[in-house]
Amino acid sequence: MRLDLAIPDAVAAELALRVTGLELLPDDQQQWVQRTLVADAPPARMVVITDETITTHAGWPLRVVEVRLEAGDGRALEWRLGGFYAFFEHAAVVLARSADEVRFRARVPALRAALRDATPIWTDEVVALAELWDVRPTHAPARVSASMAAVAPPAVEAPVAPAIVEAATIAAWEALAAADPADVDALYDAGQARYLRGELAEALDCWTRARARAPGDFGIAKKQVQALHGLARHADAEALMREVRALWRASADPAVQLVDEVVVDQFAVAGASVHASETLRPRDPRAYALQTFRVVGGPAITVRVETSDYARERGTPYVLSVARGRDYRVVGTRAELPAYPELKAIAIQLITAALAPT
Amino acid sequence: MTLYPPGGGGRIRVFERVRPLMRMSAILGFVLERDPAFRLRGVRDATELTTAEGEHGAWVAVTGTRDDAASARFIGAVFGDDVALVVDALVAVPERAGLLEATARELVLGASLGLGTRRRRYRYQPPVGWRGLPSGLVTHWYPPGFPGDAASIAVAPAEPSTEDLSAVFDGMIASERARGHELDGRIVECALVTDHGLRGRHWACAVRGPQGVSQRELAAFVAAPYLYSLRLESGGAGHAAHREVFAAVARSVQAVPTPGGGHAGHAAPSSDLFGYLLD
Repeated sequence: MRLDLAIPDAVAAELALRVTGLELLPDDQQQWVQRTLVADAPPARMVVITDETITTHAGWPLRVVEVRLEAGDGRALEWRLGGFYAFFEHAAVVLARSADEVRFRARVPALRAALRDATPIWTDEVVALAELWDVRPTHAPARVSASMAAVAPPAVEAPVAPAIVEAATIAAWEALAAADPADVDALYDAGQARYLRGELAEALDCWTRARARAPGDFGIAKKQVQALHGLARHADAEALMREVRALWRASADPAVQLVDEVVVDQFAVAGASVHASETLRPRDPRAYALQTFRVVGGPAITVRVETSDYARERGTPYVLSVARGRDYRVVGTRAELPAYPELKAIAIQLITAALAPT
Repeated sequence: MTLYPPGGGGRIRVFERVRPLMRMSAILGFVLERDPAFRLRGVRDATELTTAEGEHGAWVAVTGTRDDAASARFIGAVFGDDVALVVDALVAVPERAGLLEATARELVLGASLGLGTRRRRYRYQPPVGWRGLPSGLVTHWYPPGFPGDAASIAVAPAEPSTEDLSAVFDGMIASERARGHELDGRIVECALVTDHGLRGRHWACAVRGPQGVSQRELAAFVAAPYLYSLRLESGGAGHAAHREVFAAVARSVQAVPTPGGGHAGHAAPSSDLFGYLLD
């Protein structure tokens, strides 16, 4: 249980603030107010400047008390403003303080306004069963299965690579998308089918149109990045990847929030499939892979661009490594992160060598 | 408890009493934080399920990498009243995915919590933007402008009961009288069927108390062995809007699942999880 309170940055920067969670409303509220206002202060006399009971904008009772704490010789020690809320049987407190009266006075109006906007968040726990099912798929198969059921024969419901979707099915998705301007999945599926067929420009076109319908869709933006890299439009891909990161950070979708790394490119090296992925959430921020080129469905071969506190301290933050099973070796260090095309070329070279019979 | 299939290739771990009751995303977090080597790339499938005992559950397939190899896991949960049973099947070898998935799913669908017929929460669509405050198994919902916008919807748990629906209304009137309120004007009563086929009654009336006149609505449904009820208290200018919200919540009520076979929604074939080009 907590208070939903938006304190302006300027207020937070200039006043010392303490915000409590929601607690049971004390029986003796006068004592509660007095004790809170002198909390953590040296022995001092409290002079009440203002004391008013108002309501928040939503109508909750709010008592706002402004005080000055004085030393025994009458010298002002600190100015304090307390906001005391009562939400049913729960209470919350906001206490702001400063030893600088001018600074305090300058920020009090904004603080008072913020106090009146506050609302209680009763609980972060589950309050309705419907909340339990908050995970929805982020990836292709569910989308593919859902809209394929309408337009495709059962044989293509499970597009296991290298399943090639018939042109007629793609045309059917395009027709669905044209008929319903809100249909994102049909365009996504058409793009995925084009991508599987190696028609990268057409795939990008489908995903770009899908994205126009759902600008905040993390999964579509990620596929656009893959198509752009596939088309060697690396600068565009990297610009879009910044958007993907922003979408990931801002997403309210739990299935997106849980993602640790994202595939940004897929290609073949000597017949082996390779995924290039970027780390979104390092397992250990002190040492982790920024970018990984990984053979999938084949021998465990991985080329990484790693960074660590140690490498940064040494002035060469970027470490290139290759691993084949448990055999790991560093192949170079860099002061600057190489551009993606260079990295990809290095990865292809290292993977080719690692795949070669010894 | 951890189970290993003959020949290896993965494992299934069962967490029997995970507290408090968590959303499926939090359950995924609970499982994944216990296996930091697993790096999640995406959620491939997420379905609702009902166990053979008639408890709600969920099933999610996720893809990722583990120790530099493509990996996947199936995570299932059975939701009790205040705990969950969680099953985590980790696939290390793609060829074992089918066996691990089938075994884990069987464990989830056949999970025995032994809770039986009891007072329990049921599914409905919470009012959008309203805030819920639980009190035991009852949830009170308040509009965003509360208390200025004076209204609340109380959703009581499903009660094992053989009472007639009219007894629910009589109970509401009795509780109003106990609060010093008297009926003001006539009672409007009609039949109500939810979007999920539950049949019941709807009552609307006004009550007069020390604070003036305010509105009451009650929706109650019966589907043996349970009785379901929801109640709206509303006053002031927002009543028309509150009525609409209440009607939508009432229409969304779903009956408690009946014990029986246990079933899950559509799930993509597990071989999809290693359809690498789909990542």
